[in-house]
Amino acid sequence: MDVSQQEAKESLQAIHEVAAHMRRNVARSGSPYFMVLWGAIWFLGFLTSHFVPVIYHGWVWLTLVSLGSVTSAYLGYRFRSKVRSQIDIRFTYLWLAIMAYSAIWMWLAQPRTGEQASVLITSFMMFAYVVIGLWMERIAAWVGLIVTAFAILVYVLIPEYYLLCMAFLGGGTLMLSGFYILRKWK
Amino acid sequence: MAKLNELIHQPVRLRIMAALVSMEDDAQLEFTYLRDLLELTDGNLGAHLRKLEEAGYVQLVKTFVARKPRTYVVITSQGQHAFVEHAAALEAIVHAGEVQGNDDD
Repeated sequence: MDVSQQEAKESLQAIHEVAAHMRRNVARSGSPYFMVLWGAIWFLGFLTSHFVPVIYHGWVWLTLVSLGSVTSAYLGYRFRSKVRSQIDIRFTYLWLAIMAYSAIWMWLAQPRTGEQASVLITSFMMFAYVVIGLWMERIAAWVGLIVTAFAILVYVLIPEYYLLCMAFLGGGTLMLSGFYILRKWK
Repeated sequence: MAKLNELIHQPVRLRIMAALVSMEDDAQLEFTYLRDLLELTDGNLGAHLRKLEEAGYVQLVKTFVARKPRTYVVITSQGQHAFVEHAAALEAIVHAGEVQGNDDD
């Protein structure tokens, strides 16, 4: 079989293009939608928590997190039906592990205020983003680090505006990052 | 030295194999997803997949998702080796051409 140098170059170019297109397509089909979804949930949850009495915070978050979990399960199912891979299972286990350890550490740390509990939960969730970023898309790791830094700084410097700041900085950063990935890989 | 693979070298099959190799080892791509990604028709993709399957390079997994029949395509280890060898042979041709070009200069 004879192949000219030009033909070989074109074939290699085709291989690189398909592989890059494939990776973009798969990455785009998953994480950015979850980022936008959970960014919106954080935004609504923190914003509502800032304005309503503490007694209702539990219900607000329970409702939003339940809604987010159901929607995430639907999105996961929808994307999984196109591409099936062991990595989906590993992601599910990662989130389950993060949630389980969050519950254990919350119980051990016994945070005294809603803000303390929120910083703790935020750090767990953002730790998962950092791990995902190390595996998949670097931007997820940056989002994790930036939101964690925001959360700690705001909690230490202006705790009375913590919930309001987290609505915009935490929820906003997650949503914008999701939109950025969708736009970048369009 | 790596050898060219005539079956894989065909442009459509080359792109199919490139798409499958770019995924994780165990990843399975749905037939319609691959069809849309490579902008092929059902018949065209099906025909090329059959040839790759006969060579033992891919495996077609037929299943039901939400009661609808689905076909998933997964690359075999034999297919991965064949593709890697073919890509290495292409690289060697390009490299040899570049070396020859430099010598001519």
